[in-house]
Amino acid sequence: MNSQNTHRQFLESALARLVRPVARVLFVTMIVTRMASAQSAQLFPDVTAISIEDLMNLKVTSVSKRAQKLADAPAAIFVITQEDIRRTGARSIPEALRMAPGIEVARIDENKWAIGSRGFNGRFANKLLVLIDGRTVYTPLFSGVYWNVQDVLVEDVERIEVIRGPGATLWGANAVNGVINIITKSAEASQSLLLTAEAGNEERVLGGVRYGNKYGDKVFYRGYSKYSKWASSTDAMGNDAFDGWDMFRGGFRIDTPTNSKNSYTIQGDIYKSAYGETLTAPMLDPPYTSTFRNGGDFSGGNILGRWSHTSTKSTTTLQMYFDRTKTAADSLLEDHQNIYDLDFQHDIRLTEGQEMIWGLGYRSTQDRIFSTPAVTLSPDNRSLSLYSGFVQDEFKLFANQLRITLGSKFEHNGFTGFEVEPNARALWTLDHRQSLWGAISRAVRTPARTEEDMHLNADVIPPSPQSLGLPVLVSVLGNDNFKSEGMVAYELGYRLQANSSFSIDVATFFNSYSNLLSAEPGAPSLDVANGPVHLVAPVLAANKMSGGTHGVEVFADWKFMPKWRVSGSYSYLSMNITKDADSLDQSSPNPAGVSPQHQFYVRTSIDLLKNLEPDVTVRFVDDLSALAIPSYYSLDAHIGWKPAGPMELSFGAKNLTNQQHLEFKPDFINTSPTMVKRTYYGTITVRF
Amino acid sequence: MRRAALLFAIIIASLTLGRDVCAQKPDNISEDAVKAAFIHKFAIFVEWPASKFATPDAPISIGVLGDDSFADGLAGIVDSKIVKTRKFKVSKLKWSKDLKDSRELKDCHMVYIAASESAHGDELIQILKGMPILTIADFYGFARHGGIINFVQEDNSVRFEVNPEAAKQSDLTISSQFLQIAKIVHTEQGRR
Repeated sequence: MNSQNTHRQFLESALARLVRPVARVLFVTMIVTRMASAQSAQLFPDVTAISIEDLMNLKVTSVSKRAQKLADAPAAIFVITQEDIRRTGARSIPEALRMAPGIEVARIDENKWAIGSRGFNGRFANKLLVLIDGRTVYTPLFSGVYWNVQDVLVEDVERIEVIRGPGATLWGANAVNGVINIITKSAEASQSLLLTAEAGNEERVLGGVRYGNKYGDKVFYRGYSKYSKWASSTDAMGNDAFDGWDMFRGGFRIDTPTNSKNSYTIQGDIYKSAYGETLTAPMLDPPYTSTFRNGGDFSGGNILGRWSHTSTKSTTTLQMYFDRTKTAADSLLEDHQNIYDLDFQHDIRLTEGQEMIWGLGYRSTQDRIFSTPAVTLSPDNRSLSLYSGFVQDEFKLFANQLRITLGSKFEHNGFTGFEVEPNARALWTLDHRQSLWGAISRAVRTPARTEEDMHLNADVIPPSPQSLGLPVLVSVLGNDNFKSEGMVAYELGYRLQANSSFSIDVATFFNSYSNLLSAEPGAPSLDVANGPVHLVAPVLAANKMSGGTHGVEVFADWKFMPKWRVSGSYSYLSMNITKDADSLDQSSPNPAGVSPQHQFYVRTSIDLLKNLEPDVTVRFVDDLSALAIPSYYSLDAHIGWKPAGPMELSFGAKNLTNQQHLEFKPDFINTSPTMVKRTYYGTITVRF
Repeated sequence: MRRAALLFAIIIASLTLGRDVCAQKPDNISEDAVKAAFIHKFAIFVEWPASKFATPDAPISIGVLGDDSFADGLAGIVDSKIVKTRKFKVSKLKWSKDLKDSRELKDCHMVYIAASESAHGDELIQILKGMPILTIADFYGFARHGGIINFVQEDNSVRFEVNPEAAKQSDLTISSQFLQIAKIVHTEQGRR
């Protein structure tokens, strides 16, 4: 009885101790939000008290433009702004993508990433289309992205549009689960000299320079150059994994203003990079596996030109680009790719309530592969043509409250021939603050070179009585008859801009997949001609997996106080992908175990004193059961300081809560995954 | 007593934090907020002919073409403001074939044309030629084609270009102090 009493007394006093400060906070919050909501009749703050000269020197962000764009789009779109990138200290595109809902970002080693949208992640994830300024950056070799090659001067990224869900109609095949559109600033918006340098622990350095100016009044240009070097990390055992890398790149951009009748832009880049890794390769002699230090390099360049003509009722755009990439991975393969792309687009406002967009495209891909015993492609060079056309019609009904969009993409590719990707979308503006949207789309993922033409010696199983005392070489083989993977997506979303300080965006989806890649065992054979006598167990690429996924992504943004913003996202993904009844696949992991079921991201941004910008982020990624990777939290912090003058300093730290963790284990090629460690870094940026 | 004083101090502090956005120079505010503030200031630096106002207390009428949510935001800001003893009134305009005959358009003192309507810029300049209406556009090239003011973005700041000849042709007087800080442009050849 006595202990119960003291227990109650303790609770009561603890409660009392808690109640007063909590009441204080609540009271203060009430007053502040009352003030904020008094201003909420305005959609943006009143800055008329500022003098006209000071207004001209204010730096602005187009946050209202972002809100406008989002409110108009019948799709699950998330925009990462330059301010988001700067304040969180993201120094590369993969790091910036971590804040997008529905996107899985996993670092494999210092120079390789697995990035996917709504499932099916992997180093060679192939259901995500990535573009930089209109140029597609996925490689036709495996329909995926070499992420460390896609490097831009982050200070010149204007925004990254992340669209989850099929963007097939506008963007084409391979935009099955998402489109990532990286947009750099126009030359007009980057007219100054910028110097940036960064250093961090683990010997990470970066230096960049950009200069922009104009010629006359109508031609704006800029040039940039960047060098970055990352040191290696350690593998799961704590050994140096030799996965450091460096990259040197440079580029230019020339624009004429976009709102004139005719506008042009020309841009180009060149780059060169060398990297290392720890590779485990199979051998036919004991011990049948060898782990060694491997390396490789990338180099290449691209040039893109776009002309746009605007008239009273229409806009015509013609775009042309050439992209050359040379990638070489010792012991694996060397790949030279040339891509020529031509795109035409016409946007007409037929009547007040109807707008039509249609376009034609042609892409030619020529490659030359230098094979090794481990990876062979036959034929070793190939020229593929892709012809495409699309049409999309948008109707505004009921005084613009309902917008219906119907469209389809038509493509002809070198592997599967003709493909059609239709979609239907609707956006219902409930009132000036809320909208509801829905979409049904079909998308396909066309075969990559590897699925059709590859021979990969993936593994050697040591001799056993079942294998007649012989080692067994597991060979993954492409299949000439590999079909396109197909999917139908049903999506529904809701957006609310409650007042000038709070907004919430919810997107749900249900995707149904068919003809997904599976690995079917073929008849084993005996090989006496190539090295020690061994059995060959072939595994053929086939289309015998299917199933569905569903999930929800929520993003909320709250201007808690005028100088304090809190934003966060939560993503839920449920995958139910199984082998077809006639599949004998034993080796493919369950895709549900390769993607996290839950992810969340919370970030607080404060404007402190006059020129300090601290940002703190907490991220959670659920476990990847099929890869035995446990869930993890990451606490990152970044602070920017702008003392008077042209200089800006910043300091950041990532992974403050844990010393190190693994994020992914690779598929197909056995590169050792390395630890993502606690890092500290500092940046100096000077703008003239 | 001390606790009350502390609570009082917290309330005052939070109130002043809330006020800060007006008194102090905030960094990284939205483009729209800056443009709306400029539009308010243009009204201070421009003089209309007396005949343009029906009565001494007639409001300064701003027509916003092509951006209803900006119009809402602008209205929220200018609702409480008074310039040269006049209040403001914001109306939303929509582009249509009949706009050129529209009374609503011609009764405006200022017309703001959003970037989405850039294709109609030239036509609007023709429709409003010679009328005492301050035309402001959110796209490059408007002033050079004969409009009066257009916004330009320069390295993350909002600036504006002014065509003083176009203002003179429209019977509007622009204060010389204003012209000194603006970027002056002239109507290009080949356009009247």
